[in-house]
Amino acid sequence: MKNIDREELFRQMASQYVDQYGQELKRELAELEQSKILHATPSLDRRVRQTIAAQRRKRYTRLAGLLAACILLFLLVPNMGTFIGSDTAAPSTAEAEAESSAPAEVPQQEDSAASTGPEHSAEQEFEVIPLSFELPPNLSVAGFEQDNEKSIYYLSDTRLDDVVMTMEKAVSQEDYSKEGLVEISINQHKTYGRTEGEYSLLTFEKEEIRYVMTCKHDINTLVSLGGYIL
Amino acid sequence: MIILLTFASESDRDKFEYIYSKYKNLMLQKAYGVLRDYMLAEDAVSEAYLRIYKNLHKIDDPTSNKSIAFMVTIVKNTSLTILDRESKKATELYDEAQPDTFDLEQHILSELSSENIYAVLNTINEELRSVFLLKFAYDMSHREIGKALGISENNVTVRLHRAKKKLSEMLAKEGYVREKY
Repeated sequence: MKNIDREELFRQMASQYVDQYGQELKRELAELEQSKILHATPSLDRRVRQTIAAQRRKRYTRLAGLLAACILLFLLVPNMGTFIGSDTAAPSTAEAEAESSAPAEVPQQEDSAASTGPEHSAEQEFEVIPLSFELPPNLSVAGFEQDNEKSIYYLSDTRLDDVVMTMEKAVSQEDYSKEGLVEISINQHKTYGRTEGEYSLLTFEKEEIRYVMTCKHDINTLVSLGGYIL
Repeated sequence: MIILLTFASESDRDKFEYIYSKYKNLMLQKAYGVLRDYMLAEDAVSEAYLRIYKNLHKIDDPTSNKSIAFMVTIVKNTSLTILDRESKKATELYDEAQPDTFDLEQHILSELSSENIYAVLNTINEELRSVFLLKFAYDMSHREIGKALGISENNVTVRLHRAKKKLSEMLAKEGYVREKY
C-alpha cells in the first residue's frame, strides 16, 4: 500500500479524468461527423477569425514595442557609458596615470557583477509566507498551497465556516481593487470587506503583506481572524 | 529573432486554424447544450476560442484527449458564465455545511479505477470541476485559470477549495479511501 500525497492524488485523478473525458469527446465528435449534421457557421467563422486577427495584431504591436524598447536601450546604454566617461574624461595627470596602471580593474568589477546575476535570479523563487500570528481558537490550518507568489492557507473552522486566506508580498497595487468593498475598521486599521456574492471577503495590508481572506457564511469569522493579525 | 517569432506565429496560426475547424461544431453542440439558444451558443464559442488562443501554449497536440478536454472545459464554462449573466442570477455552488476535514493525505488510496474517478469527478458541478481540472491536469496557476475562465483569482481560490473539499468528502463517503494512519 502506498502513501499518496493529497495534491498528487488530485493530480492523478484530474489527469485520468481529462484522458477519459477526451476519449468520450472524440467519440462524440466522430458521431457528429458521421451524422453529417455539421452546421455551416459563416457568422461564427467571421467573428472568431476577426477576433483572433485583432488579438494577433495586438500581440504584434506589443512585440514591436518591446523590440523597439530593446533596441533603444541597446543604443542608449553604450552612449550613456560614453557620456559618463566623458564627464570623467578630464582626469588629472595623476588620476590618468593611476588609471593606466590599473587597467584591469573595471572589467573585473563588471565580471563580478555579472557573476552575481544568476544568484539573484535564483533568489527570485517564490517564498512561502509563514503564519506570523496566532489563529483564533475556532480555526486551524487544514491545508496549504503555494501558487506562484501567493501562499494560500485553508483554515478549518469548528463553527463550519471555513476560511481561505491568501498572503502575498504587497509590491504592487495590481489586483488590489477596493471596488464594491466597504471599509471596516479592525483595531484601528483600515480593512475592506464584502458580504454579498458567492462568498464573504476581507482584505487588508500589514507590514507589506497583503491578506485576502474569504469564507462562505459570516464575515465576522474573517473580522475575528483579522483582529488576530492586526 | 523576428524570423523565429514569425515562424512561431505561423505555427500557432496553423494550430489554431486546425483546432477551430475541427472542433467548432463540437464546441457549438456543448455550448448549445448549456444555453439552449443558438445565438448565445455562438457567443460562447467565440469567447471560448479567444481564451483558447490565449492559452494555445497549453495545447501541445490538438488531437490528444487532454487537449480536447481542455477546450470543452473552457467552452462549457464560458457558456455557464453567459447563462448566469442571462438569467441574472448567481450560480449556486452547492456546499454542504460539513466540517472541512481535508485529510486525504492521511488516508491510503485503494481501488480507485478510472471509471470511479470519472464518476466521482462528474458528481461535482461544472464550475468547480473546471477549476479543479485546469489546476491539476493542466498545471495552471490561479491567475491563468482566472483569465481562462473569466473569473477573479479569489474566485478561483474559493472554487478550488470547494472542489477539493467536495472530492475529499465524496471519496471518503464512497469508501475509496480507507484506514487512517
